[in-house]
Amino acid sequence: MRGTVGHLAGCGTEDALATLEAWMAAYGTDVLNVAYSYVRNYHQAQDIAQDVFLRALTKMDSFRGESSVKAWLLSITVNRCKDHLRSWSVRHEVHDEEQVALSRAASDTEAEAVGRLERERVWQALQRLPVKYREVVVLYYMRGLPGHEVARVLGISEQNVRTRLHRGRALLREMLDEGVDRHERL
Amino acid sequence: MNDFDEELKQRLRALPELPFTPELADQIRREARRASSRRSSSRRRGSTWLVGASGVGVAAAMAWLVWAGIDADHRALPKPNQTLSASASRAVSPADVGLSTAPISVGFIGVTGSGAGPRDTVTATLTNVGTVPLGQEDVFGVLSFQSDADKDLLGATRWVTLVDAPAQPIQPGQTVTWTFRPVGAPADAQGNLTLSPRLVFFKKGLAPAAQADVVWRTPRLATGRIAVEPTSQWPNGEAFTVRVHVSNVGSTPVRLHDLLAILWFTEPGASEDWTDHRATRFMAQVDPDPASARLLGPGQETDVVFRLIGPPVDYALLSPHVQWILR
Repeated sequence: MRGTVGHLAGCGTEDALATLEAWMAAYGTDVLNVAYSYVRNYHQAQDIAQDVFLRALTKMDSFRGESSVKAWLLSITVNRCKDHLRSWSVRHEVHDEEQVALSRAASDTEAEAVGRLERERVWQALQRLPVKYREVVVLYYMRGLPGHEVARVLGISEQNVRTRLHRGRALLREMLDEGVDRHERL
Repeated sequence: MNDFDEELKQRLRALPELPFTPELADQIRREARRASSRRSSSRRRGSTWLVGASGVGVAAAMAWLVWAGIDADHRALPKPNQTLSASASRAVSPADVGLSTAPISVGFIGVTGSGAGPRDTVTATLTNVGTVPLGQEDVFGVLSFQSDADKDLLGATRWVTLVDAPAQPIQPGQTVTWTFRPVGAPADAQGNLTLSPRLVFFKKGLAPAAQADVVWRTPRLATGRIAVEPTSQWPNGEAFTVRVHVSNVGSTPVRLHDLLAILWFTEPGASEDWTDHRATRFMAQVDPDPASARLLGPGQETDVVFRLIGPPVDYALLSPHVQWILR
């Protein structure tokens, strides 16, 4: 097993809770942000993060260390998110597209404002990516998983990961360049 | 790795991240401890699942309750399973539903909390004002959260569910205090329940409308295929969806917000009475949004999906049923 917070074989209740504690500290942000990248709703992402860690707690004994703990938790997250998005009711909801992470006070300096606009532009481009490309981009670039673990998390081949990364990169580049062009024309 | 690849990585990693807050960690910690203590409890009595649901077009408000009062122990729940079941029934809702109120007086009922934590529990005092002991085989309850506790039980409900009576029968004249945590009921960002709970107990079994204390009106809806699919499970619970195809076979439009549904599961060949103590029951709003004007016109059909959490019952072996109720 890779990582420093993964030992759990034969653990009792208190050990399991301590392991959960360590996992939350190490990977809570990863789980929450991957969930948000799918559902785009902060509260739903929190609900999913809670579900992921509780499921991980009950499934600790089934974790075989074939991937990193982080990849294992993110694979639960991705599956949970896809279940969530597949539900009829969710497909008929209007996502709030809230940008919790990007909210800032209005007292930016010019440099801060430029930086914020740049981040918003990148964020918007990322959100416009189709999910099949967005998920590999998020896992690979933002969560720092290597290609083979992205493949394991998503249940696809490494070749498929490379193909989607290539296409996702190209789409992002198009969108970001388009934004620059438009900005320069203005 | 080319230049754009590296640049992209830097730009993406510069994006702000949602914080995994201490409050969220606390919430998970609490739920984990509850789950662990439930799992490790070897002699479980007096525990039951109370369940809720979200319906068509509803935000992801999963709802389940854990009976945590009267008796500190918990009853062991059946083994979890992976199931998929479906029914191809097609039945028009029967006549109005008549119910007889049970001689259980609900004294104090209100939202309570413990210490500095959120006010996320409900406490009620129940008194058996009848002459015979009353338990799960005798009565069931309807728990409704509403803006004004004095308003009509179903008409004003913002969140509703069915509850089982205590496993330990309440003796005539006995008063018990019942505390439970209605997870999924409307709450603010801190987890404080925001609406007033109301609880009414009814006798098991349906009564002819003319003899009933309460009559719930039913719409002219035909229920088609009912598909049940588990979505996730854990040692003492299971989340699943119930997809119901419904048609308006009446001559007047039905407003979805006016619809409530009782969903229940029975053993094949068992009584189809949803009040029967052997049935696994759920109650839910189809559309909790009071502002919704969505209508199901005469002759129109639609699918309604309920997302439920309940005990890990082997639903594949059970028959699903739906009873539609008008507020």
